[in-house]
Amino acid sequence: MIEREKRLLLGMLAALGVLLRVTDLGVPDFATDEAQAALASSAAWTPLGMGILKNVTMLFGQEIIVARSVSALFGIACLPLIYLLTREMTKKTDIALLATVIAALFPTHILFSRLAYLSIQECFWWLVVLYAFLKAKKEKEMFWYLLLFAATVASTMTKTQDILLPAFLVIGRIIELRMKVLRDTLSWILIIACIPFGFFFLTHPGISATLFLYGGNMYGVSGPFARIIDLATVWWKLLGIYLIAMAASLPALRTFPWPFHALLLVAVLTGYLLGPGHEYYATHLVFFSIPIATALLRSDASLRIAAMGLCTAYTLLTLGPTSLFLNPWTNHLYQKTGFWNQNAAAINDLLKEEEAVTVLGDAGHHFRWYLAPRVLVGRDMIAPYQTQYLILTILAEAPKAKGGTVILSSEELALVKLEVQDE
Amino acid sequence: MPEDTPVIPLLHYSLTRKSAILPPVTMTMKKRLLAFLIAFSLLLSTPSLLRVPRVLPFFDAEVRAAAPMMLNSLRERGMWLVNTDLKDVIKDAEGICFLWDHRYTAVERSFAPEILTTCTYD
Repeated sequence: MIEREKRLLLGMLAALGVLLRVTDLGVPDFATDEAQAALASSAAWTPLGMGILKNVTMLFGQEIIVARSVSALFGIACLPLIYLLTREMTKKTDIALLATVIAALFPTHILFSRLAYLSIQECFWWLVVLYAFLKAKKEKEMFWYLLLFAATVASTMTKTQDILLPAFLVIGRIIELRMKVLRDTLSWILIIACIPFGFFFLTHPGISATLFLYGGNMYGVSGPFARIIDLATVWWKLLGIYLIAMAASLPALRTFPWPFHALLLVAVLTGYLLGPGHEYYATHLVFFSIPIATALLRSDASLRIAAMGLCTAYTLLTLGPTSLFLNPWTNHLYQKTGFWNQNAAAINDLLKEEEAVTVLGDAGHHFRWYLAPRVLVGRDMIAPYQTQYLILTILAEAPKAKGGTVILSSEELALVKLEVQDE
Repeated sequence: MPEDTPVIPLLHYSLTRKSAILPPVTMTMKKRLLAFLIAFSLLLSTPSLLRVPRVLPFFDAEVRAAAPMMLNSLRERGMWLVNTDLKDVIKDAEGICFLWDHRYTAVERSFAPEILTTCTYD
C-alpha cells in the first residue's frame, strides 16, 4: 500500500506531465502532416480527426497553438483512461496510479501531445475501445456495448490505421471462442462499427491509392531487418531509458489479458509496417507504461525510486520548458524557434502582390499554412512557370530558376523572382 | 486505507452505479441492439454511400487505365491532389474525361471552388 505522502508525490508528478503537455506549443514550425490535418486535406485519412482540428481552428482561430491545443487536451484525457484501464486489468490502485504517472511523463506521449499529429487522438480512442471492450466482456451491459460501438466508430473514422485494433480484437475472439464467435455480441458490435469505415474506404480512392503508392517500400514488411533497426533507432532517440524500462517490463505482460497484448501489438506494428522512421508512431508506446508500472511495483523500493527519478530527469532534460531546461539533450524541435514561425510574415510581405507562387522541390502542406498566396506544386510542372516567384527548397532545383533574381536565401529555402517575359 | 480504494472515487462511483441501475442484457435485447447498430452504422455511412455513383465508372478497365494520366495532368498544372475531388467521369467516342471539384485550402484566404477537366485526348 502506498502512503499518503507517496500518493501526493505521484500526484505532483502526474500534474507535471499535464503541464508539460501544454508547454512550448508555438516553438516548432507546423510540420507538413500537422498542416495537412489542420487544413483537413488528406486523401489517405478518415475524416474525424482532421475534422476536429479544422473545426476547432475555425472556431477559436487559425493559429498553430489552437491546433496543437487539441492534441494537448486529448493527451491529457488519455491519462485517466490509463488509470481506469490499469485498475480494470489489475484491480490494484497503486499499479494504476504508478502507470498513470509513467504515462504522464512518457516522452513520446508528451511530445506528440504538443503537436497537431493525429497519433494522440488515435491513442485516446484505442484506450476507450479497449476499456469498453473489457468492461462489456465482463459486465455484458448495454452501456458498455454502446460505448464500445461509439468508440470503435470514432476510432476508425479518426485515422485509417485505427482499424487494426478492432480487427485484432475480433481475431482474438475468434481464437478464444472458435465457432461460438458467430453468437458473440462483442465481435458483432466491433464488425458493425467498422461499416462506416468500410464504405468510406470503398468510396474514397485516395486511401487505396496511398496504400498502392507506398506499399512495398514504406508500407509493408520489405527489408524486415532494416525496419527493426530503424524502429529501434527512433525509439532510442526519443525514449532513452524508457526503452530500457519497456524491455525490462516484458515479463510482466504474462499477467495481462490478451486484449491488452493486442493493443501493444498494434502499437508496435503500426510503426513497423507503416514507416519505422516516422516518430509519431512512437506515441503509441505509452501503453507500455502499464507493464512498466507492474514490473516496478514488484521490484525493490530503492530501485523503484531510482527508476522514477531517472525517468523524471530524462523527461525534463529532453522535453522540459525551454525557458528553464534548454540544454544539448533537448528534443531537436525545441532547440530553437522554427524558421517559418520567425520568417513567414516577412516572406508574405515580399509576396503580398502575388496571387500565386510555385514551389520547386519538397512542397509540404505547411507551405499552404504559412503562405498567403496560392501555392503551386512545381515538381511536375514544366517551364515557363505561371508565377513570377519561385520557392526552391533544394539546391538541385536551382537550374529551373535560371535567369531569376534571388530575393531571399536561407538554409530552408530560396525565394527567386523570375524576369518578366516581354510580350 | 484499503489497498483497492479508488483514487478517483467520483469516477469509480459513477461507473459502478451504472452496473447497479441497468438490468442485464437478454438475448432479445442483444438482437435488437445489433439491428439498431446496423441501421445506425448505415446512417453514418450515408455520406460515403452518396459517393458510390462516382466510383462506379472505375469498374471499366479503360477508366482505371486512364486514371494515372488524369492525375498527372493535374500535377502538371501544379494542383494539390488533396484539394481535388472526383465529380464525374465522362466516356465518349473521343476519349475519357474526368471532372474534378477543386477547392484550394489555405489559412489566410478562401479561394473560390472551380471545376477542372482532364481528358485523355488533351
